[in-house]
Amino acid sequence: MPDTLHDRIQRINVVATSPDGLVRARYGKGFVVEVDPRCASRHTDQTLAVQATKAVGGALKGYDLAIRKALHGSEKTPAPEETDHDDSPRANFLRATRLIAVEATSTGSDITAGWHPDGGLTIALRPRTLDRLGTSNLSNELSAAVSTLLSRIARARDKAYNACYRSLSRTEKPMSATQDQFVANLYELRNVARRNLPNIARAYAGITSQVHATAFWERTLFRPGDPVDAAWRGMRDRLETLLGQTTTRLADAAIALDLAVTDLAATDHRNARALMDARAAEEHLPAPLDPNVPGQIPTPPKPGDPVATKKLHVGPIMEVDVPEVAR
Amino acid sequence: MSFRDDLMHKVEQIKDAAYYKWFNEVMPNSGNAPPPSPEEAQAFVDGMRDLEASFEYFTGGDPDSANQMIEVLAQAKQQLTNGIHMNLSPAATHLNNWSGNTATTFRDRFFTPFQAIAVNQANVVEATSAALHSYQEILRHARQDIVALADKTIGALQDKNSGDILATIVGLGSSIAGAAVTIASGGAMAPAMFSLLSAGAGAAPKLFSVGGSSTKEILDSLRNELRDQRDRLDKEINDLKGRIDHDLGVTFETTVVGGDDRYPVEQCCPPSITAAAVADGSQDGRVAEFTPPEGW
Repeated sequence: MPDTLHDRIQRINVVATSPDGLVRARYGKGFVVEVDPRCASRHTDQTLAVQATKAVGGALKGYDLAIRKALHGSEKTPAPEETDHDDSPRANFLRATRLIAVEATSTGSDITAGWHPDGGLTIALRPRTLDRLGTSNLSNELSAAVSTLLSRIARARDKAYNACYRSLSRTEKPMSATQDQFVANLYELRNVARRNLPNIARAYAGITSQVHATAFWERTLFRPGDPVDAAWRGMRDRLETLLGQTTTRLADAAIALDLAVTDLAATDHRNARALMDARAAEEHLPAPLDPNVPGQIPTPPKPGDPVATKKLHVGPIMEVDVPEVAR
Repeated sequence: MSFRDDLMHKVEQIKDAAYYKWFNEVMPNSGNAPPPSPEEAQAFVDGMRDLEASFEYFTGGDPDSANQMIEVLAQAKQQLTNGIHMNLSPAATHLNNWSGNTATTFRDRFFTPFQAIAVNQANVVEATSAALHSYQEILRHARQDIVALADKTIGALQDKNSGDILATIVGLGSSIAGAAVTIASGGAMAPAMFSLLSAGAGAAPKLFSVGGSSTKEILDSLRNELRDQRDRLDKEINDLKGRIDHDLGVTFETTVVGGDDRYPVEQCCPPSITAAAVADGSQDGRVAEFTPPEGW
């Protein structure tokens, strides 16, 4: 099967290690921090926080580069051109993102992760945190704090985006009928990229998993050595493969279309307004799927993958394994 | 009790009834001749050992397992025919307002054919499910027949005045459902038909008999019928395998040839489209082909 854009994004899994090698940060489908048990004897809370900051910062940087490479084929994307006098929504938005400052704390308030203007990351541990939590719990708490921080950065970025483009709508002249139409078209295209195609791709991932689940029963259906067994499996496997391919190709198409719409809106003063209007309209709708976010469209199973099962209670004491089938 | 246990229990009943009948046959009518020796009795019992293996041949597999598989595939087909189209229709409306070369390429090469592709995929799911249903029916009928054969044999052996006993069991082939599956081209070409699941159609029902005037004749007739049933089962299985292989080839291997109404896998899967294809070569990666309407 060819390597698709969807595959590449799904596979992104960046691991960064602190300079002392004792803290590892992994960013793929979720953010995980692992603190080596040897830290307990080698670090104070302060020195451990420095190592954690470097590992987490490295993973964030690596993930950003990996996404750029997956989308554009190169880690080197041109820096946005702007000047201090540039008052376009895009320039305002870029300036606003550089001013984002948010914080997140762990459940017990032992750990604080902060994001500061111009992208500075800090992680701070309250005194005796390492002693209280131990390295295992500390790993979990660090992972949770960084994940919360990332969500808050994303929300702050969305807020800045809306603010920049909303200010534009208040100052510009009313649109003409053709402008209206163009705005509507752009909004609809974005809906196809962020709603329709990902929904179809998700449905296909479910259908692929349904076809895949038949493997659970085929062990008992066919007589040992029956020639129909191999023939039917061959047919099912080919069907499963083409359904899985359809899933990833739809996801790729969604990403491609989304890139097209987003790029157009972000680089064109007038078109940006269309996207702004679209976002405003979407506030009344469920959040759309972002095809660029890993994990939003499940990876379909492939022939030969184990069939995921769950326990089903039958009567008061008996339970049986049944395959997990998406419906 | 499993089907196998049930059938093997019947085999034991056959052997018991055969032994009882044989013993009565060889017991002398007058008191002067000796009864059969223990060695003769053991030899008779040993001579029936082949029956277990012959019946065992029909116990493999579990046709009921196909029920869940068919149900899951029905859900998949339902999704492909209804669920997918619920999202395809609004997307089609939205894409119609997109103009320019890139839009045309996206619509013509990816989106518009995709609507026919979903239908084709539903048809392949249907064919896959129908193949299972055929297999299930073959096994079920084989089991019904073999149980009926065992019951008839027991009856024949227990009838002291048995003459010829005719057991009539409908053959396997006549019960298998037939269906034709259509693969639409999605373009102007005529749809292709492929023929999965006519397996067994046309096979004549078979009458077979188990009986005879002696235990040996009855057991010999049983052995003949077991061989015959085994051959018929093997033939049905091989026919079905041949049809699956044939349709697998039609669906996934055949290339489009002028005048040939069979279509390859491309009719069942959308083409790959990448960000580069949509960006259409513009230098900064944005869409150069997104054309504003007149007067913009």
